[in-house]
Amino acid sequence: MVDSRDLKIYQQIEAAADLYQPGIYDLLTFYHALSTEPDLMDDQFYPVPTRGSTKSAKDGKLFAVGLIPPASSVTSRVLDRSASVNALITTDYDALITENPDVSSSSTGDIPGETGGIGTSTPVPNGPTSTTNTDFWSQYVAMCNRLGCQPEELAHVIQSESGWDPSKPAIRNGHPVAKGLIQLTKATAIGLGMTAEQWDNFNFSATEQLPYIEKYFKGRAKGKNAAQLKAVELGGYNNPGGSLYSSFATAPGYKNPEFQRKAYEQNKGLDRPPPPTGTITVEQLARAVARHKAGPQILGEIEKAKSGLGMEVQPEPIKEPEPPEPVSKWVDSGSQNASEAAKTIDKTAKTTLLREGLSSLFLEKQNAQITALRKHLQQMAETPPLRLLVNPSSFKLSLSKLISYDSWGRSGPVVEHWGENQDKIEGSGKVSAFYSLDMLDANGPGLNRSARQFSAAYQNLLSLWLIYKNNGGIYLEDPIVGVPGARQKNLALVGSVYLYYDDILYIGSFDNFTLNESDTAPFTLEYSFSFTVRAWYLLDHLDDPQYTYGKQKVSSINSNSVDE
Amino acid sequence: MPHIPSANPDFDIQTDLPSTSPNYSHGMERRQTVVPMAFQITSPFDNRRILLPHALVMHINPSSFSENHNKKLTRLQTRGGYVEQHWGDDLSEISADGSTGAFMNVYTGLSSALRQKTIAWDRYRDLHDLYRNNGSVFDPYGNIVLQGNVMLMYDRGTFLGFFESFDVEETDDQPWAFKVSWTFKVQEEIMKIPGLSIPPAARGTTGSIAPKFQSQNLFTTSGT
Repeated sequence: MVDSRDLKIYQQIEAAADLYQPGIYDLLTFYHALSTEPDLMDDQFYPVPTRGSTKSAKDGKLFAVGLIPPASSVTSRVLDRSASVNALITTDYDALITENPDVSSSSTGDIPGETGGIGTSTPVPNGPTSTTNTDFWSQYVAMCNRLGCQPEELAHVIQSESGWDPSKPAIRNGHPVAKGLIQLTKATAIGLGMTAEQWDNFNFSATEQLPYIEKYFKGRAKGKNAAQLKAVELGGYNNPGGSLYSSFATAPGYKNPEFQRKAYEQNKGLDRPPPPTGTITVEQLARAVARHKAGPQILGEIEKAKSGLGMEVQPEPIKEPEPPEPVSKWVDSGSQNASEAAKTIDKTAKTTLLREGLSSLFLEKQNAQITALRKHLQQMAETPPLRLLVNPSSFKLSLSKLISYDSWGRSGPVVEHWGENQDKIEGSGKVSAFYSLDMLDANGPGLNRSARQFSAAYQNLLSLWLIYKNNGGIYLEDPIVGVPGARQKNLALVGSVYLYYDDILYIGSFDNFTLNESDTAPFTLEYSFSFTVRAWYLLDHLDDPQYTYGKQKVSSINSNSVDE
Repeated sequence: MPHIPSANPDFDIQTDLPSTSPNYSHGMERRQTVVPMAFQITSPFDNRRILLPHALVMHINPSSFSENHNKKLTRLQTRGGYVEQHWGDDLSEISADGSTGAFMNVYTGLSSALRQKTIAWDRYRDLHDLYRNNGSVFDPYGNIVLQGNVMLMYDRGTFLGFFESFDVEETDDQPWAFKVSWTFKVQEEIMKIPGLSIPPAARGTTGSIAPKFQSQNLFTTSGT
């Protein structure tokens, strides 16, 4: 395989640019005026691209938009904004991100941590399984070891999902909605690297499913028991009262109430015992897992594999809940408390600000900022360029000199040359028509307006819009004025956006972005943007002048001696 | 029971509505109907809390809808080149124009003289009143004492902000409808993004996909 470092820049861009979904660009940071949420009907529709994804000259010229992180030198304490490219030292970002709970949690919300547990075992018969070969169990145990969880705990989750039947589909309204050992939905499976065709014709053995399971749980399974793994698998929120999903998530403190209600409806079978409470909690998940614990046959295979490999999983110890804070002395009343309070105030007033605790707190905050900054820098560097499904219909490059000639002397005008203004680019175009397929209804909706956000054309535009919103910036929560719920974010660093078109790399930033929809064109959207160029480079795509001027003619005199 | 997102859960749902029937399915649940534009008012103390018992759904969607997003940037020319100062996003602006719909009364049909007695007129007045209120809480003297937000809901997402202008035009070439146009400033956007239910680690990209030159700026130095 060719190392992309050996490729020229235009080759790197052309190899990487593609029609990525907006979920990729949502991983960037944004100003606090923008927040995002999942669409409730995401799994129901399939975006239909109106063009193939193959890239060749016949597909037209590539127009790609990407991001370059800011030049920065981040040490453990100091951010040097003046740093330039003079070193490239790899950092173990995986380890760093694993340590950061912000990344390891599910995108749909916070997973409650160390609550719940496995209840009384109720053995159930094992379902049909083709997972009897020794290789599978060895690989399964090794995978759990890499994930940092006990194989037995994950086995209970798989038992409750599919009964260890690798080909079992979940049927709803006569259509399969989830498949495989951990019941992957189509959207999730595609997100894990499976193709839509592979999911439709699901023919993965249990062994072949392991990489997808590992990818799904990676960074989110360490030290978790079965109920907690089930909570990870289900997703959910850290609602007031500890529920994952609530059908009445309306009060402050509940995130994405619409999504929660929908998720509750889809999983309300877990709301047991009757009568329904309208919420799904970790305790209920624990009971669900306990009702469907893996049987002795599965556990025996795991035991054999573990001893065969000579390894024991050493998960993180499960934290015991911290004891409640001692009751404040202020609950009592009386002169004794008042006297103590006065002493405390006196003591605080006389304390120097340079005490040890304050500097530790400051360093802790600073380290948190640096860690977050590193993570987002790395995220931006790993964000691939977006290929536009349809190139802009107009692309205007405006160049202007900065020359002053308003002053006149006795011998004529005084012309002062001050260089050039920054180059400006203006682009505008239309997205292609909105096509999508309802996976539960083969007849529709096709070309449509009402389900446009599930079309490839709209999603391509949305990805471009998210790049505009990010604009090469890294937005971090304000460490000083930031309080929970305030959503205050500052622009910490500014990188660059690049446009790649006509073998030219334009580096700069967006100035504005406009979207227009009109009843005269219901199945499309018009957009326009302006972009200021800081630098541009003509990339050496055409290496040989013969592509432009043809082969050089060789004179007849020397024709015998020239090797053509 | 189907979930009607425009209803305010702080109020009891009327049980005699067709939508409360167990067999009822709203067309929006399958995206088989038009996407209505709807408005709400949010609390001055919590802009995620809505105040109206039910969203104001536009009688007719605007015929054109335009979003204008701007970056707040300052560029200064110096003897060492240009200095760019980035200040984040400016307030986005939404502008729309459309029609009230025909003023039609069951007794008189299309009507200009009795247009105040039509559904289209009532909905136009609702929008006009919403513009007048604009999320403000007034004291008895008409002074604004608290300010909430207007919430605009459409299929792209939800926009929290305020109306800035509202124009109504009546012309003789359209005697049975008004032309309405308005502009709306956006303080906060909550956008629906497909694919967010997939965990970040599983959204289909790895570091090896992006061009390596994007990583050229990343390096660390040892520090204390």
